[in-house]
Amino acid sequence: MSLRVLNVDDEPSILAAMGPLLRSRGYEVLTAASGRAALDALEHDKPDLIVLDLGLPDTDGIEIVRLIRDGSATPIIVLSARGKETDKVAALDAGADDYVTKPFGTEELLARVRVALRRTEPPGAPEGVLSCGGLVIDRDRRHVTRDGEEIRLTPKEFDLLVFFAQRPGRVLTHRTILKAIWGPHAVDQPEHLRVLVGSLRRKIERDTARPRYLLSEPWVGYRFAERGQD
Amino acid sequence: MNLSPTSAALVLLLAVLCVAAFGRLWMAMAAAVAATVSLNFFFLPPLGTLTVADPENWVVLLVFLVVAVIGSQLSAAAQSRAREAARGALASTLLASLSHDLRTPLTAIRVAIGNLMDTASDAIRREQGSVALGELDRLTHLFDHIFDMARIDARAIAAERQWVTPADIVDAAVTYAGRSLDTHELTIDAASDTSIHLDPRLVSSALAQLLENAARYSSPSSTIAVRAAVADHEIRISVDDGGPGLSPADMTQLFQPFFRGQAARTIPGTGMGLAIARGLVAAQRGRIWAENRSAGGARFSIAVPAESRPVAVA
Repeated sequence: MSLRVLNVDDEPSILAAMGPLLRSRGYEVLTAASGRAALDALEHDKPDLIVLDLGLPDTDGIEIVRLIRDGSATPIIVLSARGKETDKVAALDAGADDYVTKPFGTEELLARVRVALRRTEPPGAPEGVLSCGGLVIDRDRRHVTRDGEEIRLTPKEFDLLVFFAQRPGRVLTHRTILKAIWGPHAVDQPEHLRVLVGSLRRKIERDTARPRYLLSEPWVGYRFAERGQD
Repeated sequence: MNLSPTSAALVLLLAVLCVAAFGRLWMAMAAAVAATVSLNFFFLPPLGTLTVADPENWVVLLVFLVVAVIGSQLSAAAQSRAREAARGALASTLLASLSHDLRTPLTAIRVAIGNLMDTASDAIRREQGSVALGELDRLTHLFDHIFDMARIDARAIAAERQWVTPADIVDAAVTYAGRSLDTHELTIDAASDTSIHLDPRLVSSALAQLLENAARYSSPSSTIAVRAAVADHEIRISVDDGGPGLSPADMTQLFQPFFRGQAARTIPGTGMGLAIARGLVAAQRGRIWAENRSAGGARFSIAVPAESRPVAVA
């Protein structure tokens, strides 16, 4: 059975363009033009993924994310405008999985859809080897190589790298990462994270001016590249 | 005082008109009243008081006040007409520039989509599709610029301050500039153990404009060098390029909206990038300037005042 994507947008032209795009990649497409309709569709049609425009006329976008999250773990990708970083962070902290900035390209959207759908699969085993574009992370031996050459990381750098590599392609907010690596008391100290990301990048990136693995999402968080490319 | 009341009145009137010519209307009105009081106090007998002996001098005072007020209003009206004219000139350059920059991509997209609908050849479809996408990227860029300019013009930029390091700002700017830097070597020197308190989005967006500018006006594979540091309660960022440098004639107008330098006219651009950078920096009481480096190439610099503190390391 094909996966069902619920597309929530009040603009008929966006729905008309997104439908054929998603269907051409084998998804079944449901639509809703308001927050109310989205919640009804969520209850009756049980979609596997929700693509939600944050600028709906009837309800505040962040509020819809919260309402969906109250009763469902369905992945949510929000669509928002450029420069609205605060909205993006609020949506992610409210439980959205990712965001795409309008206007977006089809490949970008489809990549995010694939990543978000993958989240519902059971997470990989806690041990074993993770790899990404030349970077190989051996979690049992706490050992990292890039193109066969060993990279020496501090324990914190290693933990951060593993946290990222387990979630390829997903945007992770500063808050989420701080909580996972330092614990809940550290969520308001983004400087810890920035310093650690800086030192990790100096070790794993070939060109720190243009990172290929650990990508920035300015003022939102970071994203670990899916295949070690930008 | 040897000045006759008539000469004194004329001198005071001159002063009022000067204020009206260069100041605001309320300043001119205040000057008119002050001048009337001074004329009475210093020049109309009995001197040194605000009383008037000769009733005819009441008429003199009243006429003086009326003349001063009318003069100041005329002058204020002339000033506002001059401002309107300047705004009109800006609006018409904006219109001319928009009309060209919008029509070209819109025409190309229409034609390309027409071709897409008509042709059965896959090769032509792909080619026409990429023409349309390329022109849409251009329109998106133009739209972003117009939107930023409008926000700056409307003073709709609210600073949301947070603690960041110079490296964070450069990192975000490089991400914003994205693929436009792929053609160049990029070196970054932003290591710092100081955090600063400002709206990093504004500074990063301004820096991204400088980076895109550097990439556009210097030859591919030349080096763009970014330096960022905190000193004297401000963050200073400079962007050095390996281009031909700036012509002295262009230097004074570089940051004016829609200005395109001599050398820049052949390269596609909106003429808004540097004006946007200036607006974003000015919104945080910062400075932006350009100079030629003795080693060749141009250097663009930004300085924004900000509270600073040492980075707290875990």
